[in-house]
Amino acid sequence: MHDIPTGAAFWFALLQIIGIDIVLSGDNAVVIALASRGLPPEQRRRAVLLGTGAAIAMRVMLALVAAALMSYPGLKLAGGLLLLWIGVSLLRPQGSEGGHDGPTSTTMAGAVRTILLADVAMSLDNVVGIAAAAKGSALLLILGLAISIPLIIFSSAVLLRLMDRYPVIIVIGAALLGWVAAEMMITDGLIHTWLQANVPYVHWVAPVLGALLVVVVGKWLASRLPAPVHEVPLAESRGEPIATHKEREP
Amino acid sequence: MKILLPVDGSEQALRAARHVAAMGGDLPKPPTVLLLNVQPPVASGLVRRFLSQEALDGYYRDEARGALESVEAVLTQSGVPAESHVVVGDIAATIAEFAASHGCDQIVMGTRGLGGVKGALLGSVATEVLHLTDRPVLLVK
Repeated sequence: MHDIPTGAAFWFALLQIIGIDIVLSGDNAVVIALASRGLPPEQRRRAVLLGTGAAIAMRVMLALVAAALMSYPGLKLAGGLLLLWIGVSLLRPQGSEGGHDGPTSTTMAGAVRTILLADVAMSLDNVVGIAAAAKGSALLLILGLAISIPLIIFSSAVLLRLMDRYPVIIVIGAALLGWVAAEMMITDGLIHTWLQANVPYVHWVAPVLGALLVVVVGKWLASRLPAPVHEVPLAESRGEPIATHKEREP
Repeated sequence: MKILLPVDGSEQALRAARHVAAMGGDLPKPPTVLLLNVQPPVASGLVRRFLSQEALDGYYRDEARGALESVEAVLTQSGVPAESHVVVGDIAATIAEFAASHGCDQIVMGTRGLGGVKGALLGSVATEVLHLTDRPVLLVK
């Protein structure tokens, strides 16, 4: 296990957890906001609260389990590799179409089910990232989640907008994941002693390399993928048409 | 004459629209104006597995509505016909691609819109569009 961080290291780790949680929770915020769109306002609020409550509980439990597992040799290496990949995928351009063809759920139960299913699938990256940044401290883990989750719930719309407008936030998040991944990997029991003996300044060199690796590979992959384009049909069924004014053409 | 007017709900976009409206009045035949609002995609691959296209489109439509409505009002008031489009993608690339695929003769846009610090001097979107398109671009301050 790592040394439990104290002093400045403690606060640095706490900031890392909050940062990771914010960039990796965007997806969850989107699902929560969009899955409940079809509901009347009162039910929407309840669906959002239920969904986020479940998300918090699930994350705290899973992160504790993940943190405990990290003490087995080899698992930190595997977790680190997974984190590097998560960081790289963060930089890939987001798809713009291809939502499934099914109908939008218009019932409370349907919306909550969608939010929960998505939560199970999407909190994995979060959990591994947080467990890595917490460096074995349950206090840090719970504190980090307690601070960042309410932040995400109550400001998800603001956060999404900020990330749209300042894409550099995503790059910083990805670099942070690379940093944390490398930090975790070098403390794995399988390679720790060897690294300590053979690589000078490994505690600084590895995280910097990890951050660089994620950003460079992510950017490179992103540049190779064509930016997806999708036109949203404006002929909507409800509300006044903002669609076309073609008919006014003389 | 077919004019592409990208709008993002900013004051600059509204000013560009007023310019097009004034310009339209001077032309012998009113121009066709295509309004384009580009929405940055919000859904990653994982998200899309849980949401219907309908829900996503509805979200983008709602986000776009504000940006389009004020500009539509300006143009219809001046009797310039406008046709609104909402496209999801990278903003500058989408504008350039849309101008080409819809055979627009000109792009009229604000020098800077809602873009952040990066675009404080000359809008980053405007600059990027200039690089990407082969159409004439009119920037409105």
